[in-house]
Amino acid sequence: MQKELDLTTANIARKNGERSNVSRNVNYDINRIKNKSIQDSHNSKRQKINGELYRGKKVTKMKLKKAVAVAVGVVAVMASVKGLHHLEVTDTYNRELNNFVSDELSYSESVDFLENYDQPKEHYEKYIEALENLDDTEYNFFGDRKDGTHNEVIKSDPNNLIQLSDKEKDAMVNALDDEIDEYKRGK
Amino acid sequence: MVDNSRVVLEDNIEYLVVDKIKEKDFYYVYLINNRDDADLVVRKEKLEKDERFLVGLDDEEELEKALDLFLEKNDKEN
Repeated sequence: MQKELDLTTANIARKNGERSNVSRNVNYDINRIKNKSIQDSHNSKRQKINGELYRGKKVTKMKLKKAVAVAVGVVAVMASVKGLHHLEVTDTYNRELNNFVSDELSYSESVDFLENYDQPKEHYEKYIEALENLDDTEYNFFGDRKDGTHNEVIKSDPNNLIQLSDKEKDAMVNALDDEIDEYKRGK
Repeated sequence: MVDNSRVVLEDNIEYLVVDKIKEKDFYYVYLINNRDDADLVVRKEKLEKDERFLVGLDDEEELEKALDLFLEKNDKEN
C-alpha cells in the first residue's frame, strides 16, 4: 500500500516551532517532486533526447524565482522531515531497547547493560549499519516489504507525523538483536 | 529544428528547462511544468555511447544535493 506523506511547510514549521520564510499559502508537495525526480524500480524515468537541453526564452526571471522558491520550500521541509525522522528513529530505538533488554537479559544484566552499554550515538550507528546490510531488493521505494508482510515487532505511535517503514523497523530489530548478542558474548 | 528548451516527460506533461548544472560527467536539469509553476522536477542529462538521455535521480539524497546546487547557484543571483 502506497504510503502518502502529506506535509505542508506550515505543518512542519508548526511541529518544529520554527518560522518559515516560505509563504504558508503555497503547498509544496514533497511526494510529487520525489516521485517525479527519483528513479523507480521499473526505470521508467529514462528517455532519449535529441541534443542538449537548454533554458529557453519562455523561462523568465519570474519563473526562475518561482522555481527557486519551490526548491527553498522543498529543501526546508526535507531538512525538517530528516530531523523529525531522526528523532522518531532514536526515540523508538531507545524505547524498544528497554523492551529487548528486559526480554533477553536477567534483571542484573539489564541494569548492567543500561548503566554501562547504553550509548545513544552508538545505537544510531548500529541501526544505520543494519539498514545498509538489508537486502534492498526485498523492499519497495517506500520501504514496505515486497512480500506483503509487515514488521510486527516494532510498534510505532500512529499519532506521530513520521511513521517508520518496515525496512527501518527490520533494521532496528537486527541492530537490537546484535547489541544484545554482543553484550552476551562479551560477558 | 528541435526545441530543447522544453521536454515532454513520461507523464505526458510538457516541462520547460529552467536550469542546467554540470556535475562530473552529467548535468542536473531543472524542469518546471509549463502549466504549473510549483511543479518542479529534477533529472539528469547523460551521454551514453553518443546518445543523450534524461534519467531519474538515484535517491532522495541526490535530489537534496541537486536542489542545494540549484539554490547555491540561483538564490544569490536572485
